[in-house]
Amino acid sequence: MTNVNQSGPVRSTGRRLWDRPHVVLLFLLPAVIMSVMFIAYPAASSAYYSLFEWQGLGGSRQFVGLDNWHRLVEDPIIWVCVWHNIVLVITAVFFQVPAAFVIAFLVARAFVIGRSGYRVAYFLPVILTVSVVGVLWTWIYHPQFGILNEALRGTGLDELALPWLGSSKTALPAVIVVMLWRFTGFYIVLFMAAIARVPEDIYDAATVDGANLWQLGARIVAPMLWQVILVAVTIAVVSSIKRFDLAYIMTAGGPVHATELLATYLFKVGILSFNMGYGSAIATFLFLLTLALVMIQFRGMGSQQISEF
Amino acid sequence: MSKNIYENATTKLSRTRSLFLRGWKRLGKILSTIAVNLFLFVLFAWAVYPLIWQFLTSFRTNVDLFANPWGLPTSFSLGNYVKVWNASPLPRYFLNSLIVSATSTVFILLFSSMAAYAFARLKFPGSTILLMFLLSLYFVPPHIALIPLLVMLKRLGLVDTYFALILPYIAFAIPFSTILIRSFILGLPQELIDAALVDGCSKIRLFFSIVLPVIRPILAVVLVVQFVTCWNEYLFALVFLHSREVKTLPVGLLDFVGEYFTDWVATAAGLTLATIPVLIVYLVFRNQIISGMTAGAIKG
Repeated sequence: MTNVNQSGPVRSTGRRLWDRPHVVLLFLLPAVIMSVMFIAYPAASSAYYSLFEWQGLGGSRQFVGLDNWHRLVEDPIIWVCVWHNIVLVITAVFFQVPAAFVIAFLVARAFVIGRSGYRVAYFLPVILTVSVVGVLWTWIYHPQFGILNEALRGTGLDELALPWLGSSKTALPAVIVVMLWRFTGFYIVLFMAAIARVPEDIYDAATVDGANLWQLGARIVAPMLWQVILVAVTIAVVSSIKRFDLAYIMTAGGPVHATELLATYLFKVGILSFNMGYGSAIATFLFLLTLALVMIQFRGMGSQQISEF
Repeated sequence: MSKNIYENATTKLSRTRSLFLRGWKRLGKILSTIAVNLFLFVLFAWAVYPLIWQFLTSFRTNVDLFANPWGLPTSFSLGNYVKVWNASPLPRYFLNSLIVSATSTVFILLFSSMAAYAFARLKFPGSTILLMFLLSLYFVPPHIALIPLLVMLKRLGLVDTYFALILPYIAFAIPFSTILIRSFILGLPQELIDAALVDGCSKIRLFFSIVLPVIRPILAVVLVVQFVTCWNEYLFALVFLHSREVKTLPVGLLDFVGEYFTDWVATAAGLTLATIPVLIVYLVFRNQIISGMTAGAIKG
């Protein structure tokens, strides 16, 4: 009798270990450990490291309080970088994203031959390896043998054949053009997917009412997709602040800081010159700037959204 | 009588006018359609021509190229490819990229789908907070972790090994992948999982034999997107690796370009070799890649 009574619970505890609902909590462990150890902890360490004078990995670490932050505020190059990053943000938010919306709308709704081909082609630069893009465009801009200047000379515009990446006047616009080439397709495809989700009867109703394509896009579709536009703008702001690869590969921030961005300067200071304390201060500053811009943007666009409806 | 004539005349006039206007409108519509198609085609050419030019250049000779940069290849030769493949460390970089990207992707899929399942199917104290925490990590730029990660990897003795890339790649992919897979699981019919539970399936078996097969479509999306992301990653690879034996393609490629500085046609062959795998993966899985990279934004 007692044996029978005991065998039940004993057997069920044997199974219970795998059967208890909370065993699934173990499923969270790898993801949580990895992301805390390699994202959250290093990100928090950056703020802490910014309080030290620290030269090189083997070098000694000395607490200096806010000295690195003082230096950051007084460093003229930092403000040059901030200005360049702001230029990237402005270009992305006020030109790239709106242009992408117009292009996406035209591909999706106008009478277009080869619609799906355009979608695939516009997205192509987004997935290319960044070093290929950097080298390719450095060649295109080459003062002597680049196809850009060759084309300009061929059409008689000799005085426009400039050393695009070599002159501090044209270097930043030239790099921005490559960034537009590389990333605009992402926003186009993003908007195309959103436009495809707008129900067909809305277009039908508007067309019956005599709306033309521009009115349809600007008055009906854009307000409907305000949420997606907001997300696109957020992505544009966040990624404009952390741009590194193309500027570093094509010009290394030069000539004379003409294309220096916060991320390229952070890399030069923190990694190439081993100034890890000051580098960490710049990294933390980059992060704070991103947060601040996203908040400003959410406030601005959030209130506009309310007045739209 | 005269009134009638007058009326006749005005209706005729208005009819011709409306016909004329309609024709004018139609002409405008045709012209604007042509303009739109032309505009989109110019953008198309702008997007793909650099790559076509690179491809054409890889078959030319330097003398030929510098004489006429826009020209087409006068002869077809694979000489540049043979030279690059045999004489440069590019094949090694390929192998390194393959090892790092494949290993990272396998663990990204495993860890993210496990976590996504737990988040989707379990309510436990703090689950919302934990999910929000993971979501917020998605917005942490890798740059802010760069210096502390270098310090940590140095202490662990992992700098200049594959692990220096694999571990951060897994970690930085987890938030996005988990959120994507979780929303897919939430969209599944609950009966599917209940039926398996009634059959007395254990939680662990349930995950591997029921959940994983069912979420294959979203796993495919995560797989290709994360593979391409790891394959293309530049910043960590630049900082955490130094020697030729472990370097991945994006950084190795630039060393190669530095060595072959003046030899544009050989470099073009190297760049094309590096582009081909990405291009094939993109053309085959374009729908998964595009929907995966934009899904996070649309679901928002």
